[in-house]
Amino acid sequence: MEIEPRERLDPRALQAWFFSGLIWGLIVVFIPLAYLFLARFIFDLPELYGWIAIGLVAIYTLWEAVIAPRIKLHFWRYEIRNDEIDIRHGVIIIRRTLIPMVRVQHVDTEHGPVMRIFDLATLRISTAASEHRIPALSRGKAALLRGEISALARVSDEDV
Amino acid sequence: MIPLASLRSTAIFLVPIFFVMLQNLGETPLLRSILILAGSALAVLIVIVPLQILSWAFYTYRYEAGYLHIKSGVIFKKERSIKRERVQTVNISRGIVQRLLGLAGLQVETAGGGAESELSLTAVALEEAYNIKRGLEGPVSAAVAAGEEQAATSAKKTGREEIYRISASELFLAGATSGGFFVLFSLIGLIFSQALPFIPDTFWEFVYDQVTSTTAGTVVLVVLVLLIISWLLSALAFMVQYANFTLHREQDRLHISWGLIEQKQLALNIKRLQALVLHEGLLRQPFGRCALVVEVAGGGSRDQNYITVLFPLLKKSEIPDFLARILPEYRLPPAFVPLPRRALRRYFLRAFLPALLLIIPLQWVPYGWLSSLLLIPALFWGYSRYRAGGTCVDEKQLTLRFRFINRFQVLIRRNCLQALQISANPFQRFRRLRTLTTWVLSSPSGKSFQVTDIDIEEAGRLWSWYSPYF
Repeated sequence: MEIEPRERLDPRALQAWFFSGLIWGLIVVFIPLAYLFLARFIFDLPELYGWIAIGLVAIYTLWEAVIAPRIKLHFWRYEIRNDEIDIRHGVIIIRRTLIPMVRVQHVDTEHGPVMRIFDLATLRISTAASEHRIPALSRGKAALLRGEISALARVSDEDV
Repeated sequence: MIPLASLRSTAIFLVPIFFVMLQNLGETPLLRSILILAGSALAVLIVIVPLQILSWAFYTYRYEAGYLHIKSGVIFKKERSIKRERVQTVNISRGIVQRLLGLAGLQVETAGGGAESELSLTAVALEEAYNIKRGLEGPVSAAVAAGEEQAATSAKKTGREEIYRISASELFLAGATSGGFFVLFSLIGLIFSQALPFIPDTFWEFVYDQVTSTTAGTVVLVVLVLLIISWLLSALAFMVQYANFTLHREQDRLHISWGLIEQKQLALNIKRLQALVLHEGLLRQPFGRCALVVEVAGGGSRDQNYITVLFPLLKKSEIPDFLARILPEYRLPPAFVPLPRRALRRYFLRAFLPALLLIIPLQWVPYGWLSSLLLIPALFWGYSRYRAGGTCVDEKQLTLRFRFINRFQVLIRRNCLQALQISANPFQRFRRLRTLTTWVLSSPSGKSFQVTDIDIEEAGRLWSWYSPYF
């Protein structure tokens, strides 16, 4: 437990998370904006609730796009050893996960449009019973790790 | 089975028609509605019976040299071959009709698992079903066969027959404490509420007269009688379902069979067991009994909610002996590492918060203050959850004990653990507590077990037990 995993995520993750947080905020803010529009021009509704909702969305976006990514990046560590994958992550609840190599069923990498802009990818590790992710690795690194893990998993393969 | 299957599909078609009819009962004369119902039944039958006969005629299977070949389909042909090495379990089940006709149902499950068993034959001659079962499960090679025979004879010599059978009294106790009556009681309530619109008004007037002329005591009595009836019924249903429960081990296979009306047989390879769970129901705990359930890789059927019961009820004092005889792979730990004292406060908090959420709004209701009495059971609940929490590791096995309402003891062998996680929120970090989560393979998907607020030192011990690097 004392030995923490060494590797960190790619620092570009901050920008990617900032963007995706911002995009989400912009999508969500449409709901109170629509409400305000309706309240002002069509129905006779109190406008106050709309402004409160916009404030909440702004706080949420600030958290999601600016604060949480920093904490997340600060705590995110992983290490791939010959026999196991050791992950530590979390923003409020810090989780430390241990996946033995023998239990790894398959690994894949994936990336969405925002991730693509910053040349990032997520590594997804599946066991027979659970799924674990290492988000925001550089795409080259993710592909490298995918190959490495699948090779290690094959070596230590045994009957489940 | 053709007429039966046809009747069943007809009945399914008739249900909506029947309900439409009920709604119009007032308007159309009764005789005419019955005629319409019978007519539509006949029409549906005329279409379905030939279809069923055709699909039966086109459904063929053949067992040959380690492969089971199945061909089916009237228009879309489907062919499938199952290799014997891939077969995980072969189950035989016999419903009441199948028994009357000397038939049996056969389900073959393969490693792929998933929600549906690979192959299911609804009606095979009983003899034939056993033949297929033997063929698919039987010894792989002559050498292994000889070895098995030898083992069988040596087992006979030592005179140890590892068979567990449930006794009638235990079965009754199991049924009586199964807790099924809550479900049944609410079901009766549901049916009653659904049937409400169909009960004529005169009946309500009658009931109203009765109720107003009686005291609250009789109402309580009626509810009590209903409760007792549903309790007896659920106990009876449980007894019928699990009657003649027999479990025995043969080499690395567990053979389980149960049922009075519908008989089921299950053969389980030990290799597929992922975890053994001692399920101590709230009602069973006072009797010192628990049920044994196993998590199985790629097994369990949908009609049993994927739960594989190893034994429906067992005295807790008998468990070590039971494990030694049936499942020596698992070991009941002599003692658990309890949760640290400082975790108790968090367990109290977890019990009180939902209670408070209920109590505070009720303060504005007359007699609402009475709801504060909820705090007393909440106190007990929190304390018993704290007491139940515990972990234990030895060389090969991790054992978790925890309670939500019922208490669980989960025995997992090290090589069946898929992953291990230790987590902490800020409060837990402050109090040096951790939450342990483990994953095991189970059908239809993985399952996780959790013990909250274990000591940080114990978390470290568990971690280094699981990791070869620490």
